[in-house]
Amino acid sequence: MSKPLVRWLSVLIALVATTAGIGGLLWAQEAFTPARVVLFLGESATALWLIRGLYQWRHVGWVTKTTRLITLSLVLGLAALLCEQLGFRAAAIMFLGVWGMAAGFMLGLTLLRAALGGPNPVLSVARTLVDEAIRMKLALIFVVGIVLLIPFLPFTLAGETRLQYRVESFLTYTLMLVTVLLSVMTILLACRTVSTELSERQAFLTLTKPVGRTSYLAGKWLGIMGLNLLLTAVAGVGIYAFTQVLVTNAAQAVGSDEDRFIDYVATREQVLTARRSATPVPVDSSALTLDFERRLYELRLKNPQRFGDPGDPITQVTDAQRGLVQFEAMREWMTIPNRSARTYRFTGLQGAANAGPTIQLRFQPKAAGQLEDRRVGLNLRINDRPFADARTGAPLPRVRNDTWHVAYIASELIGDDGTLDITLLNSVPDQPTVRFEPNAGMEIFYSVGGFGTNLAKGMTVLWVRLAFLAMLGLAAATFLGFPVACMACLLVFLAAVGSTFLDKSLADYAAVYANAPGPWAYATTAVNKFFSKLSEGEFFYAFKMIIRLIGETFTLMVPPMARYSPTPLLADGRVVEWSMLGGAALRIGVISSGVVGLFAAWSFNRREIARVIV
Amino acid sequence: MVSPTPPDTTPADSAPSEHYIRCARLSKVFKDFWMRDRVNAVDSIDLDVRRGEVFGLLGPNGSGKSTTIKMILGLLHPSSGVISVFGKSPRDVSIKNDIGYLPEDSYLYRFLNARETLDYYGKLFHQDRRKRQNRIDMLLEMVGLDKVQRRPIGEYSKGMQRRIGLAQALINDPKLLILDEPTTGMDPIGTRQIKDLILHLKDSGKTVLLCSHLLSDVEDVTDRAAIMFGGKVRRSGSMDELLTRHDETALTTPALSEAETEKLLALLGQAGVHDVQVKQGRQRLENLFLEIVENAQREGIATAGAGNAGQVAAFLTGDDSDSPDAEKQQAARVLDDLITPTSPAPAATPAGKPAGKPAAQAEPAAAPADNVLEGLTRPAPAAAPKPATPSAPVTPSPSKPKADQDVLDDLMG
Repeated sequence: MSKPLVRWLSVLIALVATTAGIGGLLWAQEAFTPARVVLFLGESATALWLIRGLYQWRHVGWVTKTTRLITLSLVLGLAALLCEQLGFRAAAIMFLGVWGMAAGFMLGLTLLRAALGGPNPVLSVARTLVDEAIRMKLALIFVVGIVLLIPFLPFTLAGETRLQYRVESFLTYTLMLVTVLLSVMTILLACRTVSTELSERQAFLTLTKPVGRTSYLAGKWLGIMGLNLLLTAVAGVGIYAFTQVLVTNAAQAVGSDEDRFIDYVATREQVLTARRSATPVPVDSSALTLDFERRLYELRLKNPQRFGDPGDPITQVTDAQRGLVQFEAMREWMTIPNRSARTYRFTGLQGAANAGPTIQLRFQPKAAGQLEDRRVGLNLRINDRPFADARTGAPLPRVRNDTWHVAYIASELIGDDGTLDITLLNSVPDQPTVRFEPNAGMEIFYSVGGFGTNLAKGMTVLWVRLAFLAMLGLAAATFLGFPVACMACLLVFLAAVGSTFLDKSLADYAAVYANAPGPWAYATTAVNKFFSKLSEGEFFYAFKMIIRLIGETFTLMVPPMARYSPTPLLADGRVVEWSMLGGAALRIGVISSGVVGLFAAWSFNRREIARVIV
Repeated sequence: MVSPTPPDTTPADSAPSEHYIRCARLSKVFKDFWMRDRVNAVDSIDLDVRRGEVFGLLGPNGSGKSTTIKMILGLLHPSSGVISVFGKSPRDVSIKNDIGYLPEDSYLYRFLNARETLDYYGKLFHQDRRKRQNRIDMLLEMVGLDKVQRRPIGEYSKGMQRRIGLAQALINDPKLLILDEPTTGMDPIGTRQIKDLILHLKDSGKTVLLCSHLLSDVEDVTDRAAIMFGGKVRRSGSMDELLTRHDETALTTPALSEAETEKLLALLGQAGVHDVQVKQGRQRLENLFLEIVENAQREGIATAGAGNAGQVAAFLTGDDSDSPDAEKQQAARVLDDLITPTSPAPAATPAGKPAGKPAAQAEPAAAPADNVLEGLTRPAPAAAPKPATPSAPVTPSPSKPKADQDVLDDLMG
């Protein structure tokens, strides 16, 4: 630090100290007018001295950053103050939110750059990438998008809807927004930094220094992930803060204070929480098994080529076929005809018994015919006793058809073995059959943690997914130009996000039915079928099989991101399990990213860095 | 009369271990998409660069110079042949610790400023903060960019980018400096500075591989050179081997009157030398330009470009200490001569050699000249043998060493 700069700082500190000291003394002696004069003069002199110094030393790095922060604070603070005075409270909160997130990002960026400041090639490459991302405006556009949209979204959601729905929508939109923005930014940044450095030849210079090519790629990856860490953290804090802002501003038009309170409690207990769930199993599974075997027998009679002969062992169907038949059997089991009752058992609820005084039964009844008042009447019994709501003591009322409902059950009703039996009677005369969707139509929920921790885990899963995209972008750019690499990465990203859908689509496209379970039987059946189709002259079907083979090979390499998506869990108040986090870290962060990283290192070490110059 | 070939001062007989770069039957063929040979960029060349020498790699555009350099740096892979740098493969990362590379264009990050750029490259060499900062300060001063060190590189002119490119090539105090077209885009001041720096680095024991098609630049500083064309090395050897013409002699004197010239011609005629050309001495345009710029700088005319170049960074002069005081004390004022007017005595500067060239290097030329002139002053023998090239013109060079004034005085009576 130069002497004049030290002198300027010393005078600044002296001015502040003198003003505070003399002003404080006068104030303590109750000489308020002189104190005000001294404070006014001192503060004015300090402000002038500060402005002069900030201008004079604007070329010094930390002075520049401080000036930016002060300017940002002043502009947004004044805007917020003005909006508050004019009665636009929402806008004032929005400006403060933008300020908070922007200031947090700037401070985080300073810390990140400092953390990457060591005399090490990997760190040095990483830090330069962070500088590139910010100064070349590529990442900055996405940063601005996140910093502006998260504070803006809460105020675009309709005020008259229930708070619970507003919070769910806010979480869904913001998490999707952050996921898409950061994913696209990561792909663009990773592809651009390597491909542009190769085409504009900055990589020539770096790689003629003692930097291995693998270290170079590692530095790039580290820089992108450092930036992603900062942005996911800022976005996570922003989402958390504005969720709280939303909750404290309960919907105005919901009704009475009591309704608003119920809405508030429902939001806290059903959205801003981390709940684990359990789905029902039959009390006696033999009936379901018999139903399954009956259905399979009928299918085999109709189509022995696909499902085998009626006497074949039950294992001689593919998992997909078995799943389909099971689903149909489950669907019938989850259907309650008129004047009928069905008992559903929930198991493994030991944790729920200690999670709190109540657990939640969430269900969505769907009547098969017309209802006069569009409401369904169900008689609910818990462990063969009449149901009484754990909060109100009332029985289950008639509930709106095809809508989600939550009934609170006392957790003390859970048995010592962690089971709970729920019986539903379709007892209303002439009421149509009522059914529930298998798996998600009826669930028991119980809280196992808070929203903050859950959100943090969700953001970590997102960050792990970005780790793969960063590696993918770098790998693609080692042998492809920027536009082609971007397109390839976006294709893989879309395939990874829609991996579940893609798997189902491929299974139905040019279907192959193996005679026995297992991959070998599947492969031999597929090969035989391919050649038989060729010999039969069905070339188009054979071509479809090749397409399916290519598609399945592709989906095998693409990480199943749909399986590790935290957004629906967070918006639904479901816990992001540690197993999910660990699975994402292992499957996406280690295996997929590792394989792609190894390929990138191999590809980059093989290639000739310099272009042809003759 | 023919002046004897000066002794080759380059380490021609050095041991193999003294070779920093060796290329044997090195070829590079660029292939097209179908793996058919498209361009034969380098065709079976043999090359060696020895420790402590300045080696020039010359050739027109497209002759394979840059391809060769990129193979030496491991940026391209040879199609056949062998390269060793410091006895190792060019793809060995450890050799890069001792190499400095200035590419033919600015390959720098446009969004970093000069200081950040040098900081970045310093960190790649694991240099700690203090060492890095000291070197950056010295290098920025040396290349005259200390006043504009906070401006992004993208805003620099091409010449300024070359300067910062040179600074980054020196940040690790390399044993081997590879300069690809170092004076491209440079003004004459920068060009002169680069040439002085190369000589200074040579004096400090560094090895320089200089690639250029600006022949006058190369001629001024190199010890040995290879001339490439069509991917092949057409000729190579020391500069004296390549440039000395054995069929003529040049004689340079202070300004002579017409009578003195006639007298000299008569004497030469008596010695049997008849085909003599006499020309008025001219200073080099480079010297005139530098004098004008120096005068403008002395008058304090402002410029937004690079400032005056400073001392050669102390850590490059062979002193390994990175103490700022020690370095400042030992820093050589190489560029002093740059700003010293040279027009009053243009003939005092060796032809093509920069003003900063150590005097010892100019001496060998003076001794043979004495012998020649001594012979001239003696009466010609009756059967004096004919000179080998009676028609060779005598071309006064404005920068021939000022070594023979006394002899000439005697000669002129």
